[in-house]
Amino acid sequence: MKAFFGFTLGLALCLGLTAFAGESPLHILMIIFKSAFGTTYDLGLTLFYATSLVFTGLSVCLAFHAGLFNIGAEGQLTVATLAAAATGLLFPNCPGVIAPLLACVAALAAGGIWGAIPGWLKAYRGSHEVVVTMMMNFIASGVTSYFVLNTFRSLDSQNPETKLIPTQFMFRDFDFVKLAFADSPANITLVIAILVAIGIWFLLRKTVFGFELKMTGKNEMASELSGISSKKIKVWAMALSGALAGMVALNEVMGSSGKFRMGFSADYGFVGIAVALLARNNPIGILLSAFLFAVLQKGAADLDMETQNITRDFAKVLQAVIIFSVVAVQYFDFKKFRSKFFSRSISSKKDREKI
Amino acid sequence: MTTTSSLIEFKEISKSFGSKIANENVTFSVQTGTIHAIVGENGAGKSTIMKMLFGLYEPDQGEIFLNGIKVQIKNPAIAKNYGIGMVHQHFMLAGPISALDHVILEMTPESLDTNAFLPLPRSQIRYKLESLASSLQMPVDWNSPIEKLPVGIQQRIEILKLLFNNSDILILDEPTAVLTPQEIDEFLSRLQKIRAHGKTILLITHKLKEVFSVADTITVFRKGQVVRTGPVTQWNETTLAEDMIGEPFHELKVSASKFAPQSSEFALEFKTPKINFTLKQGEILGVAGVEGNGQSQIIQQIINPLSRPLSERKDCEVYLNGKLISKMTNRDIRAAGLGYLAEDRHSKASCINSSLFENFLLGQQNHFQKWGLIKSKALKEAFTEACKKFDVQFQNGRQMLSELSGGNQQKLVIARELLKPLKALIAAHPTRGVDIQAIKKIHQSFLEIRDEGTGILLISSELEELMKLSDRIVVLFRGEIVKEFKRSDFNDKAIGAAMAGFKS
Repeated sequence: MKAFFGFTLGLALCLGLTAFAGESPLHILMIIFKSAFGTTYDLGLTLFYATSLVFTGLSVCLAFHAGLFNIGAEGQLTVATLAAAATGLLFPNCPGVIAPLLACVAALAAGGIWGAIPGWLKAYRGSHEVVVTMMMNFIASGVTSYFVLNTFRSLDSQNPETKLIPTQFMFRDFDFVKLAFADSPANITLVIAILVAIGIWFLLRKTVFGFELKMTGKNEMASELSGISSKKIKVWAMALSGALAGMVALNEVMGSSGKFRMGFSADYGFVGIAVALLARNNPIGILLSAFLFAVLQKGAADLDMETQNITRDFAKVLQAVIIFSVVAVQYFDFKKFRSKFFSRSISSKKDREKI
Repeated sequence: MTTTSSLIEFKEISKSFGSKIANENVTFSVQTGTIHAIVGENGAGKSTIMKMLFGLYEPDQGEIFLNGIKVQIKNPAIAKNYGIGMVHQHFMLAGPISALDHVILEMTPESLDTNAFLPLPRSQIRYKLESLASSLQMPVDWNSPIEKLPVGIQQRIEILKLLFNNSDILILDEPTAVLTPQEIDEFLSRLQKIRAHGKTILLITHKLKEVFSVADTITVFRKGQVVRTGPVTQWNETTLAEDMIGEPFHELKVSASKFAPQSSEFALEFKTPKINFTLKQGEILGVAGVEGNGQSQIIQQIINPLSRPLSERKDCEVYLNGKLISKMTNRDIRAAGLGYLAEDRHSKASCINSSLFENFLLGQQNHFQKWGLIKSKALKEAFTEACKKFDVQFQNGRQMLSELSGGNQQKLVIARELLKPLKALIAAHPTRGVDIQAIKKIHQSFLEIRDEGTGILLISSELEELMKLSDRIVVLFRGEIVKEFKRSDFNDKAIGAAMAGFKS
């Protein structure tokens, strides 16, 4: 309820800003809405963005619960996506049944390892995970560039991208989401994302591992003294967090493009932080907030063309203002506000009754 | 204007926070130049009424009179003008600033007798302070930064600060909670000196012994109301305890251990170059000593808090029921049957912003699981049963631990640790900040598990508690065991002397 109010407030504030830039707020709202939901294709693209954001949001959320701040989702998903594409290119004769599975495993493993390294360094060497994950982002981008340009480079394309993976690696035959959204990149990974979100909710809520993870995040000293191996928990939490970020590869490679394109990620890893924040680290809430951010991202894409004074960067302003207002509203005490501003009238009423 | 002699008068004061009533119809008065003890269990409303006097809260109803004149104390600044000063349970002192500067910070421009463009008359202030301090025999090193001074001295500074600023009414909130037994005695005698200077002291406490040694008058609070108020001679320790808890109070009877050991194994065997001791099965071994004389080192050798390298435990051997545990991880040590009640339950034994269920499950999660899933039904049943057994007051299991009073938090932690049978239990200051009834409950549970064969290592700064429960007491001084007493030789003077390092 409060989150919804905060969201509306943020949106209203931002649209007010557009009025200063000389555009009609209503017009802007229309453009965003039309661009996000206008056609089946548009909706498909929005859902495609949302799918990736669900994974990165969950990744950040899980690390948060363990008391760790994973800002390396971007690097983890880059590595994982390359791993998925590379698996396809290295094993072209892999039988069709296990091919997509193999690529998934490769993606999860790559993302997981990329997350586990900072986790291990944090637990056993005390290096701060924020610094390490950020550096791992740069390493990821360097390493993937090298492989794309030197090993898997597609010679048919002008763009820096890998060759197409063999078709048996793609989610084709059983992908009913793809059929529903015609030519858009939306695919069955959307369903997987929803299931994974429910799975993470279950993990945190009902399992011993989830419990140990949460307690480690809340009070590491007490957890360790009570017999939880908090260091192992941290490494596993980061590995799992990395694997979740790595699932973006399913959406990108096996689901839609079939190749690794350099710079394919629309800052999914970083927007994931905002997604998790808006959902207050609730895995189910992440489904909603990821969709919301996808709408903003997709919707703002047309602002460049349709208006004179507003560029697509407006989406970022919009996101920022919405996060601020949601957080601000969260800490706003309505009861106190009411009693402060209306108590005078109440007391005077009482006085009148006395007389 | 009826009585001119009472300095402070509370008249029918009520205060509630939401639906919770903190004070209801509180009426009592305090005379000039007395030590007035405000006593009651945790959450009885004694701090709330004092905070209203100091202007931190405003009463919903009722009036406060100072010297017969009705006053409205809306904030602490007004309280200070009326000469009311408060020393909080947690001191409000800033680390690297010197003691002298702390006093100057509190002073008003008028009392400083200078203006913003003139240098501070530091030496003058210091001279005045020193003469005040020496007249009360409370010497302080005024130049050293406050964080380097021991807690007892910090408290001294807080009190001197108030006296120097002409406070006539001192409110002291649980002042002895942070002090060692020796410091407490000194502190209480200083209070009497301050009283002799014509000041009035309001002492919030739940320690009965202190009340009887210094207080002139007592007001007893229970569930937000005043039960009785009057001169100290109206009560003795038993009747005061009964007034506080509202029902007859029986001292816990301690009998010898009923446990007959089946094997000759020690519950705990502790061998280091400096400290050696053994703990038998079904025995309570008390560890006495002024804090900081090696207690925490003992605990850390047995169960290690986070990332202590094994090399530090190189020349140390600890056996739990015959098993070498000093090279194990905490997980294995716990599984081998060691219980631990940490001295600081908030940082080491519980999680203040987790639910009661989660806190109850912490460390016991492997007993409530099947295929890695938490058996919530079994957990709820065990939780309800344990809370009943230990008399933990709560509304529901999903509420946050922070909503419980300190005593209930500690009882919950103990209920959790004693859930399954233990080989040995380390109990560090288990009753600190806990009220009378909870203390009795905790002591009772210790005796019960002792009779079932658990060895208990009881580390406490309360000599009374140690002498009541222990079968043996060892005394620590400067990281070594200097003396051991059998139950038949217990004598607080001899133990106290050993704690201070005298060898007889």
